[in-house]
Amino acid sequence: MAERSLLVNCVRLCFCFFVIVLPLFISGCHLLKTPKISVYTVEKESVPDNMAVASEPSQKQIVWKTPSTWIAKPASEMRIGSFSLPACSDKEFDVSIVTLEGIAGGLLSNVNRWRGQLQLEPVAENDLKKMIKPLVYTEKFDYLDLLSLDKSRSMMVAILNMKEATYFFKAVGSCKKIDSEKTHFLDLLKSVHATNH
Amino acid sequence: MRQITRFLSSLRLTIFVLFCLLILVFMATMAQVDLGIYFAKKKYFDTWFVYSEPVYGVAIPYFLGGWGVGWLLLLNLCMAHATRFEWEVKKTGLWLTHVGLIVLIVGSGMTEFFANESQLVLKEGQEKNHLISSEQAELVVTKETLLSEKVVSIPEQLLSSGMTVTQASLPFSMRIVHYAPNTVLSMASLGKKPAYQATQGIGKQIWSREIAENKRDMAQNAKTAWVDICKGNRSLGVWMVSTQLGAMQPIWVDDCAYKIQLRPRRTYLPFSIKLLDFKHDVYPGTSIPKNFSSKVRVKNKQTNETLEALISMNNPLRYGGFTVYQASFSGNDTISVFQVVQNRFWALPYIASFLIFLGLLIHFSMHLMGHFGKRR
Repeated sequence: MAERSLLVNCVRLCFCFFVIVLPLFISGCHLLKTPKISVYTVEKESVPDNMAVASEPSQKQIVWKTPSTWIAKPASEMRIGSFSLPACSDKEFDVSIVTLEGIAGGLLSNVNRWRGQLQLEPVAENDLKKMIKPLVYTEKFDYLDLLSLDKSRSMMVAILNMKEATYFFKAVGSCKKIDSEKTHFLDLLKSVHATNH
Repeated sequence: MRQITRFLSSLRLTIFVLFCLLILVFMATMAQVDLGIYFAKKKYFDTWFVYSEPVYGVAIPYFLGGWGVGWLLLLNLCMAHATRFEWEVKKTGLWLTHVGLIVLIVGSGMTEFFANESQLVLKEGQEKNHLISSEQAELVVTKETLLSEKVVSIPEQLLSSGMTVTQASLPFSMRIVHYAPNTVLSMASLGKKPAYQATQGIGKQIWSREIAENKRDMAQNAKTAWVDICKGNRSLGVWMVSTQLGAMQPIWVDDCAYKIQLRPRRTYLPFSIKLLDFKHDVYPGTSIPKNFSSKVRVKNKQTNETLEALISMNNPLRYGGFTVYQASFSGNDTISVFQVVQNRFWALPYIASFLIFLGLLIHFSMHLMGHFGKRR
């Protein structure tokens, strides 16, 4: 009988101990989970991780076929595609494919920014409609040509609006190069299509 | 004291807490419509109390949260046994059932505190030894040496406007000018300038407008921070970092190059995984998915172990305490997305269920035997 009573008291004590220890344990867990600044050393990544970031699961992506005469340049901070021509400086000919989330500031502000790069005056919303030409291939683009006042430099821009992001295809350079590469630029636009997962 | 003990061990408290749990589950289920699973779990379960939306910056607790309910239930159960436990054979079943319940509640708490769930995104041929969080971000500053890079990581939860980070391993301090949980990025242009602007790095060419955080499932928020880099009392400029900007931005301090980036929070693995091949099978003649599978190679440099495995739906890879599930895919069937779970306490729910099952079996068997005994 005494042994039984001892066992009962032991079990009761265990539960009491559990009740007392548990809050302390939970507090300890809280402290462990509190975010802290950490410093660590890892192996250097051989390939930048841009690819993975650009391909987050919920993002819609696009693929395109690069004209065979163009040279691919490394993608930079903003560019998901960057191209030039052999023996050509960036000033002579430069193609970029840039993506930004949502409506990316709106069409008017972007067009005026590009006009500013060619030293052209900004335009109003009404004038914008006359400048934009729709291009419908596999995807639908808003397309426009811009020419600097001194007619030395020009620009071709195609804008692709997706549900979650806007893609800008831009070729800028000397008028001569832009004119000669226009077919290739349009070929690239024709090859663009969205990939859904 | 006796009254408090009696209350804490009472059946009334059990009923009250179970009722609270019922309401809590209902509220969280309804909230998932707007908040998504992650934020609903955070608001209703990963907290002692459920708080209202802040009014004048003050959030008012209006209901018990998941931790509160779990803790009260546990306290009630333990107190009941601590005060009323009797060693009787006929109560063995109930006692086992209650121990099973305690293990279940403690197990769920342990999982909440210690389990880690992240994603691994691999392109065919790509090898990685780190996971990324789909919800949380980190501000990192790295300094590269020939073969390695030193990383200072500041979790997103610590980024608040006005805070200053000083680290012994960095020759500069970082002041968070502003942190926005979601923004819209656009090219800098004419017109009204945004409230915060970078003076250094790629951010000079980009404008960022703060918008409300999107709390729905799988929503990608463009988290953005403006960081003022200071050497002593001198500001070296403000850099804009955003999860929307893929690459790292260089910072030159004392002729040394550092890189800064706001990226999804990383968890490094003690091994690496390479995606050898991803297969997306469809039923013949249709585009209806039949099976997704990824052939991977796991390389553990510490143990010199290399193994190949096929991960498919409901057929995860278990290695080194991690479970790798096939979750999604993208990029024209060339990118595979895995959900990686690390949970040291995965066995506890099974143990708890077994104890509860055994306890109830014993309890009802004894009742049944007693019933037949009486009839005889």
